[in-house]
Amino acid sequence: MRTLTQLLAIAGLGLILGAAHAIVRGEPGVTLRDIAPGPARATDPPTPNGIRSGEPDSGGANPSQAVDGPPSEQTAEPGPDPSPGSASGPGADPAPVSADPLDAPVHPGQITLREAFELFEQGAWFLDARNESDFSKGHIEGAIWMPASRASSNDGQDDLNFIPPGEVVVIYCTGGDCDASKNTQRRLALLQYDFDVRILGKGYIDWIEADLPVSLPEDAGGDEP
Amino acid sequence: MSFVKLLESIVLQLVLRIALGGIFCFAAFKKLADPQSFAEAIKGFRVLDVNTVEPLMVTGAFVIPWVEMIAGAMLILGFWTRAAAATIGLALLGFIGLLISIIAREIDASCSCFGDLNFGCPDKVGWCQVLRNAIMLTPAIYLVWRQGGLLALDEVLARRADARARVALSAADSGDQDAVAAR
Repeated sequence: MRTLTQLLAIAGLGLILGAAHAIVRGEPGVTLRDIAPGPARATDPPTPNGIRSGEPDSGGANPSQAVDGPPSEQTAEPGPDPSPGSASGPGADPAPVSADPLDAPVHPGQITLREAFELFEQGAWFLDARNESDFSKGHIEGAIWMPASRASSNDGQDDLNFIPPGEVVVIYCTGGDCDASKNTQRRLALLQYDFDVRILGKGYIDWIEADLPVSLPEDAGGDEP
Repeated sequence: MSFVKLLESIVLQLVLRIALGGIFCFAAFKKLADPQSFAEAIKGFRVLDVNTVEPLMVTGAFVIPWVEMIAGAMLILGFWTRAAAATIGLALLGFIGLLISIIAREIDASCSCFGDLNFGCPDKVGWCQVLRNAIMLTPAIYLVWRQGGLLALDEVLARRADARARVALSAADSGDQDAVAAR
């Protein structure tokens, strides 16, 4: 009984100190809310060819016409026309489902593989939000390793300060419903970096499956996508 | 105190107390140094819905390390050793259950057990972290059973209380004898 009372006292003291710490911590406070695309980002044309984040199936410029499309032999599901961009050209019906993995639908506020590749071709900055071991096994060519925790560190900030304000920055993680890219995006917002941040809706796995440019360690011969 | 018991008290209880308490204090310090990362790790475990209980999760990112810090410090000092070890043991059991649930649900989550340090395990939650917690659970259970041992505040306080009780008892005894003699 005495031990139980002491145990509860320890938990209670931790609760009081933790709650007090959370209250007095001040700015930047801890938040878990997703950063919504800013109004400037949604209305301004951030890139020359009119790609807008959050509109995976937009009827804007066809990326395949602007850049050399990457080799894409995968057809995730049978479709009427697997040619790149055929389902999202101007005048197409809203939100058609494309068979091309490059145009696979993504959540609102995120960009497709095709849009990311186009930004890649234009020299946008890529931040890899995965953990260090995954990054060292291979990453998008030229990507900077930047999980959320590193963004707060001196090393991370040295790298981030190298990126000029206002530049387009694409953040990605493994794929699926990974949170790491959103965590890095949130951290950049908390640290008040003024980048034009895009979240890659698909992840690194989808990027290598689409045979897009990656950097692999020299000894990882078996990791060829 | 026999030699074997003294050795057990010094080698096992003292060392385990300092090691386990030190590990928990360090883990708590790393989490409190970057609460945003720990809050994001809690979110990544996908146990609670962030849209409905975000403040609770954020508060948890502060409360959990503080409980670890207090229990760890008490263990090092040997103050309320049994309760501190029980707190750490229960926390470890909770973490083990949570880790197994994450593995079973095949969630790609970061552990953040020691902030940005991994101590031999990959950052991604897996069986390595379960094993590490199970290893730490053993000394916690041992300390709940055997308590603080040598150089524990509990021991010092108990000895002092014992000595005080003995003085009071002997004073009462001598008072009785005086009364008998007076009669």
